[in-house]
Amino acid sequence: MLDEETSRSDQPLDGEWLRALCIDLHGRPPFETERERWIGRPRSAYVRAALSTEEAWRHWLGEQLYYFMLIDRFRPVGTGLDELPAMLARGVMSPRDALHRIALCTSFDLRNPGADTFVTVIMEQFCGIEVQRATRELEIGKTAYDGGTGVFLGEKATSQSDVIRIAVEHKRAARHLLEREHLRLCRAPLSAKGRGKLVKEVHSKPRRLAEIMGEWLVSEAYEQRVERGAPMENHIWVRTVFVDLSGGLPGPGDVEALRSALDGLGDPAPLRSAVVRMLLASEGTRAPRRAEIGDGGGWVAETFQRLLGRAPSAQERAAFREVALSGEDGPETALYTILTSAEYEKP
Amino acid sequence: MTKRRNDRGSDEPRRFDRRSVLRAAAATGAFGGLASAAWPMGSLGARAFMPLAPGLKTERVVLVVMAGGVRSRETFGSPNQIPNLVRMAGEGTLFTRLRTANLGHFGASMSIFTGISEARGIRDNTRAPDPTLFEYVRKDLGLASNEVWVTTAGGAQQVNYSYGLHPEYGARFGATILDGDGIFNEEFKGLVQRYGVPRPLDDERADQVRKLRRTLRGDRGGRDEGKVAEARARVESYILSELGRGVTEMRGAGAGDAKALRLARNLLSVFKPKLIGVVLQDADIAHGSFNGYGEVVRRADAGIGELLETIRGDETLRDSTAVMVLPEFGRDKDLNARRGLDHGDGSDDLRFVHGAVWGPDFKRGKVVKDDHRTIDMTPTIAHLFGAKAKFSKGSVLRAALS
Repeated sequence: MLDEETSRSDQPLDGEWLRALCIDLHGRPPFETERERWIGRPRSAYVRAALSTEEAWRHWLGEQLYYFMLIDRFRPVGTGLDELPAMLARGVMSPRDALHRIALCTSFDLRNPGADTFVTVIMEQFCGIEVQRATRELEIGKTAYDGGTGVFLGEKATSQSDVIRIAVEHKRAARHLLEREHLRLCRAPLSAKGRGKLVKEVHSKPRRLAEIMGEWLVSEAYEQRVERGAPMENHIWVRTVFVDLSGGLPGPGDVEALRSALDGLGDPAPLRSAVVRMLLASEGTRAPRRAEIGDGGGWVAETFQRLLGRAPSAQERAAFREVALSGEDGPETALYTILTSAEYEKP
Repeated sequence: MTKRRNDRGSDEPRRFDRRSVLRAAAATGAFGGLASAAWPMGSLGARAFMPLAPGLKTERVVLVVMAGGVRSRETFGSPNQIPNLVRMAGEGTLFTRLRTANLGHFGASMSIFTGISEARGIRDNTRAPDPTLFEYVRKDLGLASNEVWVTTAGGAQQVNYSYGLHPEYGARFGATILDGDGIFNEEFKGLVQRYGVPRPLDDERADQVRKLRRTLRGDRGGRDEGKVAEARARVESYILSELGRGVTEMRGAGAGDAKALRLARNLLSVFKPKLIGVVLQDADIAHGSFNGYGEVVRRADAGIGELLETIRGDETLRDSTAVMVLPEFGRDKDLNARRGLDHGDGSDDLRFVHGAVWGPDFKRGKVVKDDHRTIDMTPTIAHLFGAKAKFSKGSVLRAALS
């Protein structure tokens, strides 16, 4: 079994794997330089390198803020949280400590006003407790939140900060964090087999989570996730489209405006389609004109590699080339088709 | 490597042909012009309107959930604050004791839409396991997605009201959801102005796209491919047209709620859909500001008044549209230390709310003082449409039916 895992992690990266890993770790597809550098090298080498970057942990932090619904007017901007990605990347702070800092920030307090909401969210979001089945614990937490004394989740609590600390450091929080991170990365529940050991490790050594995440990203579960494809959340889709069309990231204001609009729709597909057409006609993200793509064959192959991480089939190559060469808007139509396809939306 | 990709099945019945819809979309060119583009689509959507259940007159329903937690004391306990709701209740039926459950705003609102009281995490961002009202109605009546809408004020989490995960229902029967504040804001409007309004696909390009899509993995199309494209084109066109109207400019306390109500009013005018859910959220400002909360309630009442006036003034809607308004739960009996109102004391102020129903099949001037439940709304609306909310635990509110 160990040999199998080792052999899996030593597998050379192909375009699809690199794209999936990069989107899951950085919240964007690989840049051209990264494709040149990493394709063909071992998966584990890329994962190790990515997990030591500030960018990966900035993305991780953004995912946590989204999980806590600290978005829109509750998004912490220009706060002490900004320093966390660098500390996480250097390994001088654990993910658990970062979550603790999130719960202590003003935005978290504003997002969850009042004893009932605050303690409920702490119990649900950190420990995965269904408060309707733990009403006594909720009442004790609310008493402590208001300055009273009680034994909350097995520890004495006398303040709001005690409620946070006790929940964050609780063993159930370690388990809940592992479960939701596995679900986020592998798009599958964490298997019960071996889960107890992992919970014990992360509870006693919170920094171990980063290593575990690295192990998951070269595991069989992740291999299945790459094979299935995984739908992109709107904020990741926005960054992905910009990088794919311009080679660079959009400004944070643009990401937020588009993310907020797309999140406001039960089915974001109509607006995604409009955004793609808007970008394909705009300076900086514009589709090439027919005269700029030569005989079309090379452009189609390069476009498939860049946007889907794979080469086109013979049928795809012929069909896309024909459309790309069919008129001035041909390349735009071909790009629009790929960017609004199910395959593109599920890297 | 071979990837397994999703399919994009849909049971949406065909209402328009793709070309006519795309032509309507193609008529749009700039913000000003876009505003008019939605109207022809509305008229395209018009069809012979008739009651959907035997013996009943209701053809459309608007369900407004004041989902930020609103006590009866600040609604029907303060009639001067809510003149429009008072008038509506006078012309319809008022329930004075609708039992709720403190399941958090998200869970309690979801319970109204599923007809099942079920605990959900306050910040859960997931679908319910049960079907929603919107799925029941769409599936049983064979309605297209543009016939069932939800407008919201609470952002990303509330799009989960669109549909649940029940295998017999699900996304293909979901409501089309628009979050007023998320989409119709200055930032998004400014971005669209900066990048340029997207050019519609003409027929030739749309055909090219469809053919190319069939060559791609996982995009083999399907029998409903054209219908899905039409529905999406309609929504896209509507959003772009609405950006050019006044919703984007609404500001101040309760602006999110006001946008959700204004969108509902506009949708009613444009598409005349069968069912619109409106989910308000801004009343939760009460945690920190009792005065702000009062202002939000007054503004919501004004928005509901506009909605009712639109219905009363439209001969197609006037005698065939029902409106139902209720909070998802109340708030605490007493003020908190910040002179605000939380929700968690288990008092009757929290657990019971008033609710009003108005429309051609509801009794006029009736006050029901017996206990009923907020989860009764879903089976009642399903009943009005001749649909069946078969997994709901609620009951039809027969005390209100004439």
